[in-house]
Amino acid sequence: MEERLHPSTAQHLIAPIALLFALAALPPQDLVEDLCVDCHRGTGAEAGFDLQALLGRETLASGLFDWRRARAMVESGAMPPPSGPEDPGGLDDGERAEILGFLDGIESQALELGGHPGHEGARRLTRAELGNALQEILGSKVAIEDLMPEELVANNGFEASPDTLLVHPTWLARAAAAVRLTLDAALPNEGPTSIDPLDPDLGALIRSAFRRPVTDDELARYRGALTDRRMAGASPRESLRATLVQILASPHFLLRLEDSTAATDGEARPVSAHGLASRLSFLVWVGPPDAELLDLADSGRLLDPAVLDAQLARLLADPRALRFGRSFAGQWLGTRSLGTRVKPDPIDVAFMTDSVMADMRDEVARFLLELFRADLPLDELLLGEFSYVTRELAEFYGLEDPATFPAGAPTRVAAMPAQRRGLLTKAGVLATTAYPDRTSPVLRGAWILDDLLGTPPPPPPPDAGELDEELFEEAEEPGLRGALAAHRRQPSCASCHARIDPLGFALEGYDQFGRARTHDWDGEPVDARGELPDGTSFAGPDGLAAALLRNRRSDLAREIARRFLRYSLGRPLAWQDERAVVELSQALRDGGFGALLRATVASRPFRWIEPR
Amino acid sequence: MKPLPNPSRRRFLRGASATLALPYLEALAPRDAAIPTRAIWLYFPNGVAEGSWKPRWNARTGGLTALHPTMDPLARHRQHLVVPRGLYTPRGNGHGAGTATWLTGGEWEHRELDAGGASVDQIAGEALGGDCIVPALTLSARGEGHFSTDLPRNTLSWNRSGRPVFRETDPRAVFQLLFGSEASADSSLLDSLREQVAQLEGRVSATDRARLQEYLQAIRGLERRVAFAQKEETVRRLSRATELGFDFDPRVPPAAIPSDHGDYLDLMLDLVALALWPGASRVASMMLDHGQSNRYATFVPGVQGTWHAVSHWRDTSGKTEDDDGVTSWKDRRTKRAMYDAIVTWHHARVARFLDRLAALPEGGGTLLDHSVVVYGSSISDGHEHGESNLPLLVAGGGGGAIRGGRVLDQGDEISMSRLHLATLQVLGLPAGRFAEADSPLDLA
Repeated sequence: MEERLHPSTAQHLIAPIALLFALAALPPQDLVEDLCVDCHRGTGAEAGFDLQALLGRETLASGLFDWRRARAMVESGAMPPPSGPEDPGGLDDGERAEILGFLDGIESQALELGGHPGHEGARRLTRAELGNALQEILGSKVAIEDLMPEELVANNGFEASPDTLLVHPTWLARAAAAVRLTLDAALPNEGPTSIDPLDPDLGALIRSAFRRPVTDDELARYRGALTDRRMAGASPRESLRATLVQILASPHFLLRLEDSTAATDGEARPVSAHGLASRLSFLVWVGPPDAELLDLADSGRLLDPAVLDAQLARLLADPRALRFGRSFAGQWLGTRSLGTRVKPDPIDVAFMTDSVMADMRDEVARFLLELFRADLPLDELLLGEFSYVTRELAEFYGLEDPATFPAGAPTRVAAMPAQRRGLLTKAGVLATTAYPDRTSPVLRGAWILDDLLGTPPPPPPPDAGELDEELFEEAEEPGLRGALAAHRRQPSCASCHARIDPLGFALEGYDQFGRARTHDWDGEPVDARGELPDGTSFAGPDGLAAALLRNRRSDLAREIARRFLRYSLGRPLAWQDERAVVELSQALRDGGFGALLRATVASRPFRWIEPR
Repeated sequence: MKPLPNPSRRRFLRGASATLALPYLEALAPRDAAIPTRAIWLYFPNGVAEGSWKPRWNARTGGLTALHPTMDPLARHRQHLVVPRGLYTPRGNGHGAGTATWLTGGEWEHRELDAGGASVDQIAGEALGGDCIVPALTLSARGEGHFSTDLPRNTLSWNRSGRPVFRETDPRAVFQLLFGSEASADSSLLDSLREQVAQLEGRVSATDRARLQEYLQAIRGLERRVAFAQKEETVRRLSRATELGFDFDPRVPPAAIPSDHGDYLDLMLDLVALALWPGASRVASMMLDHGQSNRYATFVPGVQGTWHAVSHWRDTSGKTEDDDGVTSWKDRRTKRAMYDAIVTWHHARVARFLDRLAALPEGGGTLLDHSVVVYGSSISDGHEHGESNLPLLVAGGGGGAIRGGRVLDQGDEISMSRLHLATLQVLGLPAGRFAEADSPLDLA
């Protein structure tokens, strides 16, 4: 295997993990061939899942994510299917141990051979990044949401992805229009301007737009353009405006090119100081680096670990870090759809105002941000007593004396009531994972399995059947719990829903808007008991939180690390990144969220690129 | 100023064509080699209730006798329609994968965001639309509810590098792109941007070179606006469009997205017609909604619930995981009628669009004569997520290459890629293969 390691991997010290797994030999794959390949083979493979091709790869770990799909099917008992009427399907204990051993071996191989840096390439700015950058550079702000289209999402709901962020004529035409409108606000004919048209510091403007030092040629070219316009009789304001359009429609501004030059394809190299400055600021501020960061990049001092740490702390303490809280929470947890996709009828549900939904989103964002700012331990995500509540949200939650909360801005509450502690009880999360007029233990359970634990349930089989009225009538227990119990009795549904539903049941004490309740939609008393697949039983959100932290701690830490790394890199993760994920999750478990951030910024995928 | 036919006039025309029973050769467009053939793909989500696409036809001649009653709005274009039966997409189907691969004929890889290659519209646009502002225009209605920003459900078009081409949902942005003036006036700006790309290209990685190429292509598109806007023919056709009854003036940008959903779709489709007629685009695709529309279809009289929920018409409890928990239905018959009504309502939009194409004169015929319009969905019965016999039809004369008024009943399991191949050939491209298809559907 040694020759498969890229030379540069050896320079980077992830020695402890590499040593741990270096000797791990892959267990035999015979059983997979015997039990699975018959159906999962070639172009006509069942479910389009060609295991034969995966087994034929030189490096099995390169199919890591597909193997995890296989693991989910095996662990749930859905695969292998019954071979005949007498066969219940699934695996016996011996087979199960052997197959899981084989799959564990692939996980180990991924850690052993992984660690190559990726290359996300010069993607364009997202809508949010463009708006923040224009504000930063020009000192004026326009409502970018009205000017640019909402980004499409893929890969677990993250929008910044080099695969999806295309520059095409409509986008460019819109970006140019946004630039012009922001310039109109920055350079008004009357009243104060944020840039002096008579004496603009063109060098500083270009530097902050291009996020790197300006070459003499560039400065001369733009100065020349400005002078030419003035000579041609344009007003100082008009000349500056036209020159700034030229700068802000440039690929150096619209695309992340600050660390793209001097590329030698296929050769890993450290991210440059300016590349790092941008990576930091786009992570924490969802926008470009400020002058201080650029100064430290110019001098190279940013690469000094102590300086880098101090900068990270500075960025995080800055009010702009709230953008990170909003962006990461919205994309990871899905709360950004509250108020748009999730939008209760304003007449029927008068209390779900746009403003209270914004407060709910913000509560989750500020809660997450404090975890990072205060370097709080993993447990605080699910148990944290503090929160950020506006007057309207205090009324919604039924807190005592809501009138004492200032209107508008949220107030930090050190200890929320028992039923409002931790992420799982935040209205933003509860309302996002429900249907408009009722709760869904399935949605909430699947959300926990996917977004928090990284073990999404496989999609329902084609013959899954529906939760239809007959099920409600046949059910032995009343209401949704009874119908879901009946659904789970169908063999094709049982294996997955036994994992999904009980997690959601623990949150039945909250309605579809996130209000606490004692009776469900059918008037039945809430039954918030549930259990983990391993048999651990619990009740209510605090019971669920404790059970997750105790029994699924490793999955939880891994998935948070995975989502955070994916957010930080702005690209989907590859199997080679799993090594960093393991390191980062360890940092989170040993330290806290601040440690996770610092470890991410120090990690190989964040600090190295391999241009392609 | 000649207004478009009003409803009563439409009824009269429909009656007239039925009594006259024209031999279809007369309905064929005059061939005019100088006039380019355009292609338009119109996609609708969630399929149609089983049977509601089935026409009546003469088994011997293949002549289309009558469309299904739910397709009544399209009946006035019957002589211009070919209804192919038995088409399916062998490599994937449904709301997500089916949408993403509807025009590629490929397989959807969700992790790689790979739809199996370039889509037919992009292939055609690239080959034929060299002097267009946007060779292949990609539009969609803006989604509501679940999946409104989900990539596979919102992407029909994939470029030559296999990257998703963003669909535009804002008519104001489409207008600015095609007919906007400010940016196009500043050609020195575009020169400077092109120069910057040229200086960078030699110094960056292969991936980044490809990204810069995308940027450059976008710049070229904006550049072509200058020449396009100044062309005499452009000016003439755009001012003529107003006289021909277009509801908006191509010289004045729309103020906002119309609040009425029908007005919104009509405006977007008008923009398609106005992009194609003077040559701002050569081909276009328009999603009448994203691939799993959860829009409340209450804009259609008598309908309750979301389009997707209604499409699962065999379940009326209102309590499935597809439901909103608020809406339920009396019985299957009622719910199916609502499902049909939603689809019929969209047929009316498409019929109006075909009216538009037929109202724009070109050579001895109309834009409809010189167009091939593919209209359909990636699902057959919505409740079953049906995969076979997809609801599809072809409209337009294809520049003389399409013989309308027919049903193609040539068996089951005919890959939709054969339709894409046929469309490319109608456009005059020397394509011998599309995805796995090497023989085109016979549209002539």
